[in-house]
Amino acid sequence: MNHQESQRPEKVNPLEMRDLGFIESGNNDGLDDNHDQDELADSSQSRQAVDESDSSEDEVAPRNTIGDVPLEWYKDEKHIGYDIAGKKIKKKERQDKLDSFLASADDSKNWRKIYDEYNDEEVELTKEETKLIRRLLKGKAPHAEFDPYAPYVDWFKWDDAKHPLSNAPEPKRRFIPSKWESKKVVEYVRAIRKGLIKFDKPKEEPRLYLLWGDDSSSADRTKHLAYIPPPKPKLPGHEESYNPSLEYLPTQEEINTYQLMYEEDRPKFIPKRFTSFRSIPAYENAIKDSFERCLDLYLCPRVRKKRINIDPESLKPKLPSRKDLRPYPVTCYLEYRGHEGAVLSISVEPSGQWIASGSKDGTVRIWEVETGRCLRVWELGEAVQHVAWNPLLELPILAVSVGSDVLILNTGFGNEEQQRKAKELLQIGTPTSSDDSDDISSVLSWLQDEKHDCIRLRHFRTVSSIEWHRKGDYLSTVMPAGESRAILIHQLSKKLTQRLPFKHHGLPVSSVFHPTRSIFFVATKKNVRVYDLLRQKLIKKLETQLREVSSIAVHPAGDNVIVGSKEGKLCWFDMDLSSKPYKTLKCHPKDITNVAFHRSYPLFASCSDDCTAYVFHGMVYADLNQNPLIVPLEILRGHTSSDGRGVIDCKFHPRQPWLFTAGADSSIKLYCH
Amino acid sequence: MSLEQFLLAKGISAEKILEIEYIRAVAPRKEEEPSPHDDWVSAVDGSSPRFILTGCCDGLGRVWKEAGLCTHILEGHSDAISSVSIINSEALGSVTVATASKDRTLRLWKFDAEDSNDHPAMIRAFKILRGHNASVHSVAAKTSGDMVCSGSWDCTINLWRTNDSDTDGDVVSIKKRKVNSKAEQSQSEGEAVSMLVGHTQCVSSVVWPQHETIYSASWDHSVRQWDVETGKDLSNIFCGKVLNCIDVGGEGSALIAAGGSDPILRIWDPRKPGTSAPVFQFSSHSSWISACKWHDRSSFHLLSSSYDGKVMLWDLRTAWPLSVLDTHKDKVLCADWWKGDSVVSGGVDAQLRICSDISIP
Repeated sequence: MNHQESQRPEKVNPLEMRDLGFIESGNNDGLDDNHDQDELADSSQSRQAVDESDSSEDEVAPRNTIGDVPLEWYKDEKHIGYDIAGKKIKKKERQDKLDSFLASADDSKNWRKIYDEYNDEEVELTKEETKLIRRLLKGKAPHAEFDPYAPYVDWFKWDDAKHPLSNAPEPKRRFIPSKWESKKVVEYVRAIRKGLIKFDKPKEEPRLYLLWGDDSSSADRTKHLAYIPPPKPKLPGHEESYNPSLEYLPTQEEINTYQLMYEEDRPKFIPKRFTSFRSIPAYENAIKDSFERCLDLYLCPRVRKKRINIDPESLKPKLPSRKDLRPYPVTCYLEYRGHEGAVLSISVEPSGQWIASGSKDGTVRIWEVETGRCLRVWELGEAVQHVAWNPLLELPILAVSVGSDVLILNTGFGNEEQQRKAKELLQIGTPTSSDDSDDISSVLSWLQDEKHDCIRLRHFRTVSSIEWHRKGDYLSTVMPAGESRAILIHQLSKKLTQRLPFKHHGLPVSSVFHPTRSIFFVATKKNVRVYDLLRQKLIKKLETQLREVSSIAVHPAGDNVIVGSKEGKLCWFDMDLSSKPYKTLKCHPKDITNVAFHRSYPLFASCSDDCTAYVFHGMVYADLNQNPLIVPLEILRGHTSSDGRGVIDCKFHPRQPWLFTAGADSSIKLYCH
Repeated sequence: MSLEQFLLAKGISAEKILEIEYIRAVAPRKEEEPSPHDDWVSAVDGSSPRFILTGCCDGLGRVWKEAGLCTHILEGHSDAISSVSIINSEALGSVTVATASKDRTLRLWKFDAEDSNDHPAMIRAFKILRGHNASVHSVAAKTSGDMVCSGSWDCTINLWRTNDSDTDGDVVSIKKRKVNSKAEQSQSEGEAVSMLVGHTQCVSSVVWPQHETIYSASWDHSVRQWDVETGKDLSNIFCGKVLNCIDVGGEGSALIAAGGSDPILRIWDPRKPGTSAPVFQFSSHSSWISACKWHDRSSFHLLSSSYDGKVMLWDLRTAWPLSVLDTHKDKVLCADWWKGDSVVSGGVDAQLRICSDISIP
């Protein structure tokens, strides 16, 4: 016991062992290896050395085989254990301390000796072993030849497999047909042959089919009602909040005004403010609301509304740009001032040098277009309703309607020859009209007016409009109140008058001659009638669908008519197309007073009591397949309203793209391009 | 506008170097008293430094020695005079002038410019030129003085001889009216020598600046150049607007200035090949342009009168008018240079205004 205690530190630290000067006796070569095994059991490197020594194991003395049992159990025994053959290994005889000390003092190699308690022997460490121990003590690898920084050797082949987890080769079963499967197949085949397994019959393709598509889907649709989801109830907004912002709260005045409203218009919910959650009362209408919702869902038929997605831009007609349609009247540069009342009518001389105007102040004036100089004034004493130049250049006469009279004035223009002819024409020889027809003579008389040196046609009713035939010999007058004799046609050369041989329908407003053919247009309040004067019959009736027609103008080619109405609508009729309006333009907020076509440019205009005149591009194509092109171009302003009337008449210059407008403000304006 | 204001207005930094082009202000320094007429003054000619010839809408032509001093009254037209032209003013004794009128005739007059009385002398025409079918709008005299041309509403330009019927027997048939022969002065009638046809609308203005060429402006939107000998039009320029006045002058006496039914005064250079676009456009007026005249010495200056009541003096090198004469109360119908340093203009207010003392280099 004592021995063992003293030996233990030696074992731990051999260097100290030398210092302490322990001397171990009974050196045994054979036990060297045992000692080795004990000391360096944890090192794999040392095991090799042990294995090497194992080869000489047979020669060495048998060693203890007691295993890992406390050695105290053998303390009092004579043996320390058993060898491999089961024989007891006897304890060696102990030297006393003094002897062992002396022996260790003598033996220079004593410091290498270690006592192996297990095998009860002294082991002498070799030089290599001490070196090994020293290296271990320094914390180095025990063997000097071990290189801790050896170059790294990559043992795996990474190139072959992306995932090197399983680099196993393909198993064989993958290549050979499965025995069990073939057995199963054979089993099925037999079952089919026996008729145990039956297949579905192949579907037959219908031999007949619907040529015009499948109508089954529509039939399906009608069979049952499609489910239409109920509309979602409106979610509460800010005002339904228990503490809405101040702007949602109605003032007391507003709440009072709610009481004056009808029950339906009254707001259902009046926002109120509560400072805290706990002060909110119960919503008194909760049950009522949900009941009404249920009632709605139950009773209201629901229809799926089909919304068509159309770009509003695409609905706009593609019109050419205004710039490409120049020239057209744009600006007012000239004004013809001198009248003292509203100018009711204007007419431009066919060459475009002069313009005649008739006014409410009872005068007819002739102006020079270029300078605005008033050349002649006739005082007629009564409001001049209508003026019209003779369309012949060489016949400078002017037809003027004053009250129930129509005056044919000699303007005094033209050379001597023309003047002579005009004067001749305006002389009434003998009153021959009486023998022509009795009813006409009673309502109309041709008189010579000495004061103005002109012809006076006395009608029996107020004449509202005069229109010349293109050859300058005939003129038609319209008396709206004339009933069956409302429209008369006068022949200037023979001083004859005839009634229009047609039955009148409605109140006539205006009349126009066709620009090239013997066709006569009569505009009544509701529609326009087109008569053939040669065959004496009605050709067409243009249904305007307007409340009250106010004016009419015929395109110089004769196939298109524009009609202005008192509700501010302008209708364009293409007579080849239909008797309904081709286009209806709603531009003016007030009555259209007059419409006009340009003689050579593709322009037309309308003027209205709202003090504006509109200019349009109205292109008529020779190709009958192409519809007329109508483009609004310009709004001409400048006139001022007077007496509720604005622009009363408009006429185009015969050769320039200029528009004359006559206003109720007693001025005539010229708009130039 | 001062330079500082200009910089502020244009947002130009004061650090920048500005190139300032200086053009002398040309403005009349003296406004002479108006010469009153009985009606609108529709035509004026100031090509003679000795007198001013005006035409009036009452059918009378007047000769003014100076402002307010009328020496002669040309009496005979039955309608408004639309244009006047001085044919030769160099002759010391008598001066020949031509007037065109709305009564479809032109009349030639002779008077002595030197004699001056307190009371204006009444002059009768020595020759009446008949042949136009519509009112005559414009008359221009050849530089040599033996012919005049006239433009009319009947779309034609007529050429007439101006010499006295006594010396010229072969061209026209001469009729001495018996009524007129009783009068102290004989009147002869002339017929057109030739007629230039080509315009489709009213010929509103003619000029005869060179011996062989006549320029005409018309309501059919064109300016035409005529060869007098052949009667053909050499070139025409289309403008798109009705033209009321034309004048040829400027650099090399070749630039055509014309104004019409819009506020833009256009100047063409006919020598520029293949172009119908104006080389200059002046657009300070606000209404129709009634007259335009080149200065006879300076090739840069011209004047224009407009229905907006203004007469403007222009320099080709600037876009803005050198000065605006705003003396008329209503439309200005005619304007001309006089003596090289004055502007005479007549208008609807029946006044002939003379603005003098304009220094043009």
